[in-house]
Amino acid sequence: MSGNLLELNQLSKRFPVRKGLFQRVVGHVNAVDGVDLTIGRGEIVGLAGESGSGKSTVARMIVGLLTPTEGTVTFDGEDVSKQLGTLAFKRRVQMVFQNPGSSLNPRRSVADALKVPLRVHGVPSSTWAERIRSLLEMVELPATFAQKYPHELSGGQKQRVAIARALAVQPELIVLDEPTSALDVSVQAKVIELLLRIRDELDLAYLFISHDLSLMRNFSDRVGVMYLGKLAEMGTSDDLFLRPQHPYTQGLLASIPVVSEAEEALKPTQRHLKGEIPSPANVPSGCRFRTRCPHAFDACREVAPTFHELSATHASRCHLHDPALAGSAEPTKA
Amino acid sequence: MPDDAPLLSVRDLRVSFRTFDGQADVLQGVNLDVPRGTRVGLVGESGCGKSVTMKTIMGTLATPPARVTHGQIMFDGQDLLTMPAARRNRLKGTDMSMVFQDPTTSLNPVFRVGHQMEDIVRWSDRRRGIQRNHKARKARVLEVLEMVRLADGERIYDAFPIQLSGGMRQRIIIGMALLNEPRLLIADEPGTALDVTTQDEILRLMDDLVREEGLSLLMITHNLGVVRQMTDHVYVMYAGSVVEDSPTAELFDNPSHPYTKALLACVPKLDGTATYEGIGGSLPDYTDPPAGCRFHPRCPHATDRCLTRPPAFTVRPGHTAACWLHEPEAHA
Amino acid sequence: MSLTTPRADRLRAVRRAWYRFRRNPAAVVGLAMVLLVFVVAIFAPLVAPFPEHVGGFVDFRNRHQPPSWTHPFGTDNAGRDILSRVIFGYRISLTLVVFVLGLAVPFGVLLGLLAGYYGGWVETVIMRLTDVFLAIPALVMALAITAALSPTLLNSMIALALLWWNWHTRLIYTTVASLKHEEYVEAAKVAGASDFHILFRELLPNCVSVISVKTTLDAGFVILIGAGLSFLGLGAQPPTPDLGTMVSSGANYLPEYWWGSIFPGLAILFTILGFNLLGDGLRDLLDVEVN
Ligand SMILES: Nc1ncnc2c1ncn2[C@@H]1O[C@H](COP(=O)(O)OP(=O)(O)OP(=O)(O)O)[C@@H](O)[C@H]1O
Ligand SMILES: Nc1ncnc2c1ncn2[C@@H]1O[C@H](COP(=O)(O)OP(=O)(O)OP(=O)(O)O)[C@@H](O)[C@H]1O
Ligand SMILES: [Mg+2]
Ligand SMILES: [Mg+2]
Repeated sequence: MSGNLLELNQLSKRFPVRKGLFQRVVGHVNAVDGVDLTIGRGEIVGLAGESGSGKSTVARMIVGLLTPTEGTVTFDGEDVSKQLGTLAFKRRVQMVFQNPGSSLNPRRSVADALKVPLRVHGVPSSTWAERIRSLLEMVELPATFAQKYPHELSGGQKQRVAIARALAVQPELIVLDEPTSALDVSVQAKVIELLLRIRDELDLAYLFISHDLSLMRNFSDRVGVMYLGKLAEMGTSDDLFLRPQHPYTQGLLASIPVVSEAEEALKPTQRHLKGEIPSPANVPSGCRFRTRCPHAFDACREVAPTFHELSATHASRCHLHDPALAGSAEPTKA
Repeated sequence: MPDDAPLLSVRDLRVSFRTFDGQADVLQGVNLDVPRGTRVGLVGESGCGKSVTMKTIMGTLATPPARVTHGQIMFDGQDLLTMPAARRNRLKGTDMSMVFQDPTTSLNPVFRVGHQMEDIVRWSDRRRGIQRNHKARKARVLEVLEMVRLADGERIYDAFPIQLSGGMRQRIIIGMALLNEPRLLIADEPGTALDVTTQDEILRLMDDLVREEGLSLLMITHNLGVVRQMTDHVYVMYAGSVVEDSPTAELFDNPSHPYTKALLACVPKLDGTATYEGIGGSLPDYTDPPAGCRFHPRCPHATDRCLTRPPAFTVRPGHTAACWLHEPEAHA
Repeated sequence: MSLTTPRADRLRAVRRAWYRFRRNPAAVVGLAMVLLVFVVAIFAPLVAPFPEHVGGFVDFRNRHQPPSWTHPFGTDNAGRDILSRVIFGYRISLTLVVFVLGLAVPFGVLLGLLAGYYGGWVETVIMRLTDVFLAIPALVMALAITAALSPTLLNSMIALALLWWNWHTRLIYTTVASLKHEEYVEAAKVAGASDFHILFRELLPNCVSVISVKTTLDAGFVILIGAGLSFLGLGAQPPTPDLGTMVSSGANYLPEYWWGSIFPGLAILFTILGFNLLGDGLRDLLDVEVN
């Protein structure tokens, strides 16, 4: 497994929960709890899961906005856990944020936004104008946009600028945290097309976070499904969407609104997920999904399931895959 | 009033805004019917005028800068636009209700949920000219909390919004809209701020309620999947006018307007066959919209005909498309 | 896509802002009042009918003349034209404003930026310091300071500046504390930008609108408190034509010679009103623009 660009090893992040007048620490939120993930060169890996499952926290640790509590990050074969926030590493990993409305400074022009990474990474200022033009060209915006301010741009155009900004330092990996969730489908399609084209041209890898599972199906090579800070299931897009194994993945897929009968047929027929994600400050014992799982049985309360390798590419963290446990089990809930 | 007349019927509604760049003609003759007891969807992309349509119906559009320049909004046989303001207000608080998109901002964080809901009951009582005491009002609130499947109504009655999850808050917002026993429920992007799982639950709940209570639903959304799941009839809107309307199943089987087709093509498919063509160009500037069909600058089939605005041509019974491609003679 | 040039775009943005501003009549009136005061103060020697009446001029034959065509505001106890002295008085008021706010605003804003952005002990130290200053009523503090030093215009300006910064610190602190979580700040961090860059290039420009609104509103207050100090004899000393001093010396001859303090008083009110109307208008304007 040396060909991987990025390897996360048991990556964890705990946030203190503070309360009261003196901001006393009364507990911890295990926002990310032992995540193992690899991204190959030129690969697009998706992270799905409900709100609060820890997707953004993973992303923010990778780009150095947060420091991991535990675990290691290996980049290109080298342990970079200690240098996540350093300039040298930032040059190789960039991020595009969710909200086109706030990811550009309303008081600064497009050119200003693009100059930040150029200046920081010591690109000679004589070449900036040229670089800015070629960056804008790369994201299919006219060069005149350099002088514009964010409020003059549409959502899709802002997101293109944000992509150009990420590309400015010629990174190898870009973290895309819900890059199109604020955009219309017709605009989303164009932005996704652009991201795919850039990936092919520059051999970039993406970590792609999204709530839109249909989009994830199409855009990602491999997908991880997170639940309460842990990966529940991981596999290729086909593995996950054609043969979902974890009850959580199945529940997620069952709730996607789709636009044709053909797609309807692809959705698992299982019962819909009930209730809401528990607080990460108070994770259920055993399997953390058991409180919402239609198949939960006694063992799920006591033992935390480990990953079961279902194939070379596909793994799921569920006791149902353990013949010893699942065979004898009686569902506790009807 | 014959009972088969639609509960809500919007006819040739035109709304303009006064802006710095001049007059923005946003709504350009919207036609739309919500028959009694049906679920109708209004779908379109950001900026196409969905919220303006809805606000005009509810009478919450700020005038100025907006101005209704033309049209009728018939509710139960009466024109909302010409009736006295007092009467219209009474209808607004009793016979028609709204569900808003964002559960975090539509509840006041400093008041208990129960009190906010009771206020609504009180206002609606006042409009109806009836009086109930606190106990009767609270009973009504608890009844509605149960309707929206919130177990433990007493606890929720006394809770502050912050103590509840997004899904619970969205249920409360729906409950608030039901408190005054409306006949028409207008929902603007309900649940889009929530997870797919929670959104799914909310949509199912709304669907059940609409059926149980015999309500008519006008659902406004940009999500074609939601429309498909939730409605009987769909209106597709582009740049201020309805370009296609059809029974829901028929629309998805047989989309006819080039815009509808293009939009459907943009939706990523669960079978992994997405193409990322998108739709070239962008929504027109409402202060200087293209002549004729407003979609023609982005349309692959555009011809000179499109410089004249196409009427709604019937594609099949109950299914119309405002596009010259569907002009009857064109087929002959 | 638009084919306009950046310059034309800029011009359009300014015109659009002016269009919105103009729709708020109170703000336009405020702007006109403030401009009038500035113009009159700058060109005082040309505008004032009797520029020579400003200093120690005395003409006892004309003392306490009621308002007339020659002396629209009347004359004072030394026979000096009150209108001329009010016009020159504006010069002092505006000097006071520029000096006090010129010191207090940058200092207060800087501390607010630091406290809001860094949090932790930086925040604790700075914000507790502002609490201390906020706990003491401004005028009382100014009185104490000027009384401790000697009562001159300069000292009263220093005293006011010492009192004023903390309001701006508070304001910027809360603004920055919410802005620092904006994605563009994070994006700059991901790009590797320095704290200096984030503070002054990303955050500060987004504080400009709140700062300018607050500063405009403050200007009126500074004039008022400055006049208060002079009224109590702790600011500019006679015969300098300070508005506060004029109100106070005119007050000795109330009520018969009412014009001696009423007109300088109205002049103070005029500037305060102007700055406040303008500030409110700016607030509406800038609020909209940021969205
Ligand atoms: N700075 C922080 N301090 C404390 N808790 C935090 C912090 N950031 C995130 N969390 C918590 O960590 C958990 C995971 O949050 P995260 O933002 O990673 O979720 P997410 O999967 O990205 O959700 P979404 O889909 O809503 O973006 C949440 O419960 C959140 O409340
Ligand atoms: N107060 C206003 N002044 C000027 N123009 C307005 C005003 N309100 C709405 N508009 C314009 O009307 C058009 C339609 O807006 P509307 O809010 O109805 O869109 P929408 O279809 O609801 O979009 P979204 O999906 O983003 O909510 C927009 O182009 C908008 O610029
Ligand atoms: Mg997130
Ligand atoms: Mg809307």
